Amino acid sequence: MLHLTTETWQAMVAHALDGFPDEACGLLAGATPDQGEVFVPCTNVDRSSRSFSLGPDAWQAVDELDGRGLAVLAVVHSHTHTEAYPSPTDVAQAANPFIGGWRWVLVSLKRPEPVVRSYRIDGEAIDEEEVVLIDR
Amino acid sequence: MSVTVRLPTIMRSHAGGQSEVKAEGATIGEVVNDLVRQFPGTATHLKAPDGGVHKFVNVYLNDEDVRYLQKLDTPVKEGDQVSILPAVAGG
Repeated sequence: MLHLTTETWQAMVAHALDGFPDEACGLLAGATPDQGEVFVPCTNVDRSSRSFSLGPDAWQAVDELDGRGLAVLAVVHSHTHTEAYPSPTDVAQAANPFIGGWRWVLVSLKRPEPVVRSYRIDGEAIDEEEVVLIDR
Repeated sequence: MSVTVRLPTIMRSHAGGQSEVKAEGATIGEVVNDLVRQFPGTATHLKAPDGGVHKFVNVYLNDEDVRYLQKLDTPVKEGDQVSILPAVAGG
């Protein structure tokens, strides 16, 4: 289960809307493994509606988060025209050893109301976990 | 040519915990090879089986992605900063 503050949920959705029609991406971080407290918007250097690549700003953010005692919990990206479900490209990229343990959080803008879902991807296995909004 | 190489967190344990190290070379490829020579443990995350750079790694020279320069043949100057960054992407 992934707990998100309402503020964090809103920040992720706002970044996805800002990036439209391109995919938007960023990092979700927290002090504990199951609570996303901070969303860091990052540059999608692909500037594409079909793909994203985290820009160098993401790694500067990781160092800054580390200095604040926060760890990255998830890579977040938007799907502008498809469901909030990992694409085959996402699954292939999830084998990246640099992001072992990170969740994949998807923000879908397919419908008028944005949808946020969280997954753990292990090999070809995609396991969804519940996203629960909390107020601090 | 001596350059500074910034390492991602996951590689630092293979370089004595350092976030920045010095490496020698005239090109990015030579710098990467010198890095692996000094710190063999970095090879796992850095080197592809074909001898190139692993697909999950991007190499930046100062602020430029070397894929858009001359890749591993990109020349470096004394004092340049090379950054090894994870390549995180999706679709």
